[in-house]
Amino acid sequence: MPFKDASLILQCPKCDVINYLDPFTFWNFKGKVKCAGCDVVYEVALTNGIRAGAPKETKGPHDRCPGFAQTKDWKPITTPGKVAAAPQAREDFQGKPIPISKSIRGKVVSGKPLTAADLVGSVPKMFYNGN
Amino acid sequence: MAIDKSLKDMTFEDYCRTVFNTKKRYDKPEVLKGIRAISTTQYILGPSCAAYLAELGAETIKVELPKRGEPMRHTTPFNEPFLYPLSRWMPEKGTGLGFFGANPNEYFLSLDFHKPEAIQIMKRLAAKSDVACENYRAGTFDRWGIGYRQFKDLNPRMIYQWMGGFGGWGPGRNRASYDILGQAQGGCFSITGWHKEYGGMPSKQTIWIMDYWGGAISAFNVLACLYWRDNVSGKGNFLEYSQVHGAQRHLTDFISLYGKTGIVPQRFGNFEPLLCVHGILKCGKSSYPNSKNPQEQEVGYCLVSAYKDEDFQKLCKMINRADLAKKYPTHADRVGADAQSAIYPELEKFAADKTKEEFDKACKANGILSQPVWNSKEVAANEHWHMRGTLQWLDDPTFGDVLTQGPAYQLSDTPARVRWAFKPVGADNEYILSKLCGYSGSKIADLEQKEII
Repeated sequence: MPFKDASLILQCPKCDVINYLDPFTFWNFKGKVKCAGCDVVYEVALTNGIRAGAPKETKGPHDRCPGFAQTKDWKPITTPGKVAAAPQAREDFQGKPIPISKSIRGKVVSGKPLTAADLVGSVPKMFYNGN
Repeated sequence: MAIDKSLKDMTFEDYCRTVFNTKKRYDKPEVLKGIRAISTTQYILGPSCAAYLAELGAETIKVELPKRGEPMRHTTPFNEPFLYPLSRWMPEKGTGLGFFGANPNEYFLSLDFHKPEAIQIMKRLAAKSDVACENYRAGTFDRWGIGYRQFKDLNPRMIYQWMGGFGGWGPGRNRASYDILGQAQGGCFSITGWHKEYGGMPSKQTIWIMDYWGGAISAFNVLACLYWRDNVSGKGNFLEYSQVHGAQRHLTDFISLYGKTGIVPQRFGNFEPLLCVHGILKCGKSSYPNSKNPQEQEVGYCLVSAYKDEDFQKLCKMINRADLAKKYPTHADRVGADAQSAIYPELEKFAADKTKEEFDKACKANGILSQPVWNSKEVAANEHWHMRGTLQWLDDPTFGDVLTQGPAYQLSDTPARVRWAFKPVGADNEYILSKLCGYSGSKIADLEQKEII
């Protein structure tokens, strides 16, 4: 099988847009992906980062958008809805931290959410004031 | 500099203890003082390169998107431990500990590259800097007008280190990279993991070793170019580091083994293809069976190395299996895969009713090299690391009492050091913009109002 049909890069046969099936999301995946250029939906299956074959056109709706896309002359496509948001930058990706105010040896550490009133510039007031 | 008499008469250990005294680390000059670096980096590969320069004293300015900063600030083990605030605009959010260790000593400037004014600020910084480090997708900064080609016109002495996955040219260039992808494509995972008799699965390093390794090699490149610029040519340089190539570089003998014989090296788990016995054994008992922390209740592991024939004989005697020493008398007899598969289980039978410390004690009593596999708690409690400054409790000016790694190397007269762990996004906007761009307070406030910084 040619590399271009097996890789994490899905180049749309219709519009030539290069859709990047980012490994974070698509390493093991079976479903429908929408081309970020022409919105044609393709059936895709990947095992351990290797695509089963060339794209097969199918009907929508799609399951996922590519992580990143470029036109054939390397212009990025970043429009929401065309490509997925970066997983690490998503608001809902943040978990629920365990608030702490002391390190494991019992000294003060800034380990819990603060308010604007708790700050002096960028520094927590307790450290700025030395207490 | 002449060595004074007291130093001259010392034992070597006392001499090292004196000249590398970590308590005096902050009183000595820094070897890269006077060098300024811009770091437009994210995740680990690029930031660690900049961090190594900052630890050596370079004035390193990390540039991130305003308010939320780079993605690594939001990547942290199981989304649990955070240090606050993320930025002065978002005090209720924190920076994840994934950011820790890759960004010490840096100054933090926020810029939105989508705004023309931010591009102008970047150019002003570039004109006054020696080094730029970045690890965006290949060609991104060039497209934005703040890549090497544009900076070179402003500052021909600039050393520009781009880091990425697959290089800036060639048929494989159009991919984003992660540490894990670099290791997969570079060949590392094919030889790291379990032997087929133990399931055969490849195993990744929990730490992002290819990122930190790549950062170190990139910093090494930068230092070489600083030498060439300042001592030979007077000119800057454009540097490319590919993570995949870096992964390949440390595959030791495996690539040449294939080239010579056609053998594809396999995973060997806790065994060692070159030496036997030289591996990690599972011990049957936990060192902390009554701990309330389930992470401490796991059974222990112990490294043992007895590959010389005489040491192997001692090891066999220790486990009451002198017959194994007779069956495998020479290293050539036991280094093969089948022999190793027979020997290691017999050693683990002996360790089945022992903690890692008990197994280690038995080895040492018989003159055999061993070392319990320490966890983070045991490493953090070790006096040796703290005395030598490779681990330290840091009174961080922003976040308070944090435990961090220090530099792993020592320089007697110009030691590297950690001054602060990191800072919130945009914490040094006023300092950097007034010092290097000559902006007034009102101008900076205006930039902030327009969300350019």
